[in-house]
Parts: sequence; structure tokens; C-alpha cells
Amino acid sequence: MCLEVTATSCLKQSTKTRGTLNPQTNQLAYRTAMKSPRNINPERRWHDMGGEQSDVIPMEGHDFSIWEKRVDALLVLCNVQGLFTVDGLRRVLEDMGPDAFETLSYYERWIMSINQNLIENGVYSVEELGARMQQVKDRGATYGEASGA
Amino acid sequence: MLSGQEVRVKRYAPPGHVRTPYYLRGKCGVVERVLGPFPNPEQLAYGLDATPASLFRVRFSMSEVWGDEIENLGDSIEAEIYAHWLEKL
Repeated sequence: MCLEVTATSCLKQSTKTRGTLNPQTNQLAYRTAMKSPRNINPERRWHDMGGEQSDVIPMEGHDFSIWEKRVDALLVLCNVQGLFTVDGLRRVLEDMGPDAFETLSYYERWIMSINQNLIENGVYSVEELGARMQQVKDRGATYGEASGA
Repeated sequence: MLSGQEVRVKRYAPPGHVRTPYYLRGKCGVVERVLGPFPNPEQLAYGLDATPASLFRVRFSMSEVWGDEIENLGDSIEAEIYAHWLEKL
């Protein structure tokens, strides 16, 4: 067997190589870095988890909310427009640190990173963002009302 | 650098965005193929104009990476690593 690890998927795939099969649950046992003792190796950044043991990964599928799909589409659009690349997305996600990884959902972290990149690249100002967020908020309390759906 | 070249991954540890996983640093492998130049993601990540950097697919033996606890001798792992992370052996 030869495991192939691309430059863009090295973390996920390398973690798989260290999973161990639990005979009781027949599930691969993983312990993610978020559950590990806090990383104290200054040469290894917190997100660089390849090879660490992990807890059990939930394998059941799940659906995504419409806002999560929109966040995903937003990154594609930003890339197509040449505003920033997935590299910038990752850089901010990594700089958020392990606490954000524990407390925020996947697409919550994405939208925070996308926003950070768009501000850094001058696509809009913090002031413009604040005004627009207020406009959206004024439309209504629910996602449906606020998004105009 | 051509395929077949023996290389060692540098033990750099800069506190920035890099694509070379920690578990491969200092490990020795062989260039399996040359993937050509790509914009350096370590510059793209900061919104900078990226210079083209050569990317190589490097093959490592599992025992080189993980030691003697591997399940199957002869297993290997390949990773894509940029030229500035590699030194020729």
C-alpha cells in the first residue's frame, strides 16, 4: 500500500494512518489535537496534527444548513474573483488557535477567516461591514427574514 | 532535482503558514516525481505575490516516518513538498 498525501490534504490523510480499530465499536479510534494535552512543542503548531492519536470520529453523515452552503460558495467566489486564495483561508484558521477549533463550528471558522481576508485585502472596510451587518439585522430576527429569503 | 533523488526534509519550524507537515521534518525519502512549479503557498497565504516554487512528490518508507510500530513493512507514504523544504543527500 502506498498512502498518497497531497500538499493540500496532508493533515487529514496522515491522521488516518494512525487510527486504531476499536474491537467494541468497530470504529477507528482517533484523538484529535483539541482533546490532547495542549501542545508544548514550540516547533509544532497546534493544527499540525498528523500522526497524533485521536478520539473516535463520528462517521455518520450530516447535512449542511443553507448559510453553511453559502459560506462555502463565498470562498469559491472569492477565489474566482482573485480576492484571496485557500492559502489565506488556512493561514487565518491556523492563527485562530486551538480554542477557536473547540468552540466554533467548521463554517463559523470559515466565515471568520473569509471576513479577515477580505478586510486585509481591502475589499471592504470594517466600517462598511458594521453598517451592512446592521442593515441585515434590521430586516428581522430570523435567518429567513434577514436573508430576504 | 530529478525523480530518484534522495532527499531529507529540512527541520525548519517557522511560526507561519507552511505546507510541510511536522511529522516529515528531518525524514529522508526519494523524489518520486517532479510536479513542476506552483505559486508558493507560504506567500499566497499572506496575500503576497507568490514566486513559482518547484513542487516534488517525495516517497518515504512508513518505518522512516513512524519507526518500527508500522503495520506492514514495505508500506510507504508520499507527500508533496516544495523545493525549499528539501536538501539533497
